[in-house]
Amino acid sequence: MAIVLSAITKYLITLMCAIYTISCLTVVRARTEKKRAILIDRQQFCMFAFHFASYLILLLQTKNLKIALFYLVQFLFFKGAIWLYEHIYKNCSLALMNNMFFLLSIGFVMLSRLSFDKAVKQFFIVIGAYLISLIVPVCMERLSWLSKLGYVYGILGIGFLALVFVVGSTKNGSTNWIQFGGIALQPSEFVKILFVFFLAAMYAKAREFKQVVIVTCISAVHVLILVLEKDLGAALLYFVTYIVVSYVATGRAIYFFGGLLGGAGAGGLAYLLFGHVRNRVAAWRNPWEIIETSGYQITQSLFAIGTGSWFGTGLTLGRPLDIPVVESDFIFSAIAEELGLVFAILLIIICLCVFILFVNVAMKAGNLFTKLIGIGLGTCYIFQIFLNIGGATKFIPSTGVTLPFISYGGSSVVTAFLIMGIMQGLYLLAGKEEVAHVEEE
Amino acid sequence: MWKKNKKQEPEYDYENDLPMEPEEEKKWYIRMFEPKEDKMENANRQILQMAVIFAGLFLCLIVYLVKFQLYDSSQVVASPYNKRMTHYGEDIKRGTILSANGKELAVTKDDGNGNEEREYPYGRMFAHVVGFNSHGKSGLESICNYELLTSSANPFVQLFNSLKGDKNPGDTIVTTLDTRLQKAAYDALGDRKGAVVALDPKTGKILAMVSKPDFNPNQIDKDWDSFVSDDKKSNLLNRTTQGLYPPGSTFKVLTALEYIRENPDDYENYSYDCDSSIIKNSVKISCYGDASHGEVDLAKSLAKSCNTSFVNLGVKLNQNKFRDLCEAFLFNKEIPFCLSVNKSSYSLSKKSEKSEIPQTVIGQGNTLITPLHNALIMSAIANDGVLMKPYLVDKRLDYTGNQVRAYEPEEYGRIITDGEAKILKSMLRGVVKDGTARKLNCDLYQAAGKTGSAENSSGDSHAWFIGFANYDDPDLVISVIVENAGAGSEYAVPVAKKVFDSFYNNGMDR
Repeated sequence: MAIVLSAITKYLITLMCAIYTISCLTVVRARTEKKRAILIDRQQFCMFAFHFASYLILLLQTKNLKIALFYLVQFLFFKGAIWLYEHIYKNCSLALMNNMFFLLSIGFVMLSRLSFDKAVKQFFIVIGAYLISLIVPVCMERLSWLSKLGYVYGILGIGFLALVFVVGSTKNGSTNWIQFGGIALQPSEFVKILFVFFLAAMYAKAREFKQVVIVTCISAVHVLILVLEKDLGAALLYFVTYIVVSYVATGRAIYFFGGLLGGAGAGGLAYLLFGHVRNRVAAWRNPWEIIETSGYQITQSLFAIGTGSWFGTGLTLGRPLDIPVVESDFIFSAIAEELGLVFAILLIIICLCVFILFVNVAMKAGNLFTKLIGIGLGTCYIFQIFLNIGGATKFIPSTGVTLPFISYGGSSVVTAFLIMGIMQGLYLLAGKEEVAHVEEE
Repeated sequence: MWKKNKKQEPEYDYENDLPMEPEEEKKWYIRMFEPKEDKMENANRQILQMAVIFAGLFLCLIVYLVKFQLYDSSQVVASPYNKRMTHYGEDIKRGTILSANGKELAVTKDDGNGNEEREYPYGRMFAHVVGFNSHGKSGLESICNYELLTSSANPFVQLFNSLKGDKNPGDTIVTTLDTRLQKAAYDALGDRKGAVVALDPKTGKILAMVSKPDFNPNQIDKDWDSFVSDDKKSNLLNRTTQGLYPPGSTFKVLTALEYIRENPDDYENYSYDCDSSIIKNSVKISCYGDASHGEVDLAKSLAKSCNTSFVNLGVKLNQNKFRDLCEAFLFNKEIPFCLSVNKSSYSLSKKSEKSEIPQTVIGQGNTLITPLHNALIMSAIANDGVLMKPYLVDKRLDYTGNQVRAYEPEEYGRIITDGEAKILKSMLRGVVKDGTARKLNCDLYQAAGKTGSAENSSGDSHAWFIGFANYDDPDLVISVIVENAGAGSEYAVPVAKKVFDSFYNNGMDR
């Protein structure tokens, strides 16, 4: 019976996600407040319906009452969190907030299915991250001196990144973790915010050649440290963010194409120098030949996606746990296997919608500093998703980064919340300036 | 230099992002690195450009995913490393494999107590090509595993079955194999070791695929240990795709073609006086059975399979061009086929020892070929120079017989010109009319082809025949090898004849 229900529900889940995605795409174009409010409500309905249906399946399949309890707690959290946000920040972007919670709910569902204990742990981290992120928009609104600390961000960032050389530990082949008592932190996650602030503050101050050289040098130190930590995904992410922000700030195509060219050269050099880089590339080119060694993970991921087909096997009916590190780097494959590729593609579109909303915020922002923060954090967000999904599907070599809001991992989800808080802050600022503008006129 | 520039630079009002005074003229290579002030009024233009680039990246990603699901996933999922398929097999009744004429080649039977058994009604006859469903799977059972374990029944039926607690029916695979032709080939080979491939040159459909010695797929579990321990007889080996043999005189077709290419105007005037042996590049080569063929032209050399004449013309060929020709005919290349095919090898080039040439041009030396590959060479010639990709699976049906997917013939490409094909066809017809394959000369059909007797280290010559019929409008290509039997004309041609007879007697509809 549960199997049958799971089979029917998978179509329902895809439908909910499709309605959600459509309202995501139309909410930007909604002209009147009333229309927008309807769409926002519809999104929340879809999200709660998806959440309920998924946990119902999990409950029926596992027959574990803890699942029911966990669902209830989550339901209360989502309701409360949405209520609180709407009341503290009356003018915040509800579309952005909805997307954040929808992505979170997908993450909770998948994590609960993969490992109940990890899901619970993640849930408590999310509550903390949410509370921290509540104060971020206020800070962004009030603290005008944030744009003056260019070098401070740079030095702090390098310091945090270098900390792993002193108190680091190794996980999945990368030495990019530090241990504080029982808590393991991944500095490269948090530091990317500092890095974007560094770029934005430096370029807001000056944008001529000399400044670009200084910024390039300090950015290169960041990237080099990450390369030495064997954290390829983060190194690539920082590098692309640097290029994008430099180009947006100067408006000079030479920085963009020159940067890409330099990056390609550096990538080639890394390929020649480092064995682990060659391994990743080999596993991407032809994983079938090395299926029992370095090609194992990616082929398992492709089996999952291929077997799941368009509408998935239904929750709990696939074998996502065959994929190593499925709950963080390869959670996209688990989603594609059990919820279907249609759902997974809709998920990609929702992530893209979040990015478009970020871009909107950046374009409406009142000064160069906030604009650069907007596009910088937007790049961090969307390019990380590209690295994660591209890597899990063999579109590009796998680099080992997480899927924001969905993957298991405290550092990842806290950083995602902070980015979201900052963007909400910028949104509020832009809104205020607009109001001021109108009043002036 | 940069410092100087900085001094000249006007001050900016960064609050409003506006230049306070007009810029002075600077060299272009300096301006290239300066911020673009006209674009700096706000950075929205650049932000929008970046957004478009990222959206483009994701569009590519989505297109890639859709393409993966549509075209690549079934092959990926069928991998024996995918543990998921055995897992799903528990909820699906494995589908049926049918012949082109609708006969069951492999079927899962239920004994009523919920025990399922895979049955192969034709037993040994289709052993290698249909394969088996245990011990890691082989043949069609392996490559169609995904389709056989996937149900395309409509969702309501599937739901109903799940409610009843019944397994859902897996899809049916309709192959291109013809039971009548397969039986003819299987019987014709008798107790001999060897292989027969028959295919349709116009489509690439494999009509028969026989390999001996064989095994009984119904008893594979019982016999498995003895097959694995005895590697000499290699019963499990599909010789049509895995067996590598010297091509012997069948290779002379390509030697003749290269000679025609290098002497397009006067190949018809070629003449040689055969007195049963020849010494070239300090290697002595004799004709089969020390026969002396007298004066021969190119067509007669092929018809009589005259070794000395071919050595005489072969040593003069441009060895690099000859290598290109062989590689165009898929030597040293992957053969496009769903079952894995061993690579045929051709090793001669300009750098090779001169003494290797005489042996190689008559199909001995280091050259090796699979029976399927030899059939494809004939197929390209029969189809006027265009090679069709060989294939085994014609259709995929759901359990009620509704078509889920049809597999269309695919062109591999043109290998030789129309004209070259015509010349070769007429020469190969001569082999049947007045040459080594005279046994095929009959009224029922007009066959053409080439015999071969490949010398090898394991005993008597391997008997080869590759050919096609009808001469005017070929619809059947056949490749026969009988291991260690003797002359091709004596042992392989009769096997081919039985297959041709069966094909044209039964009037099988293509």
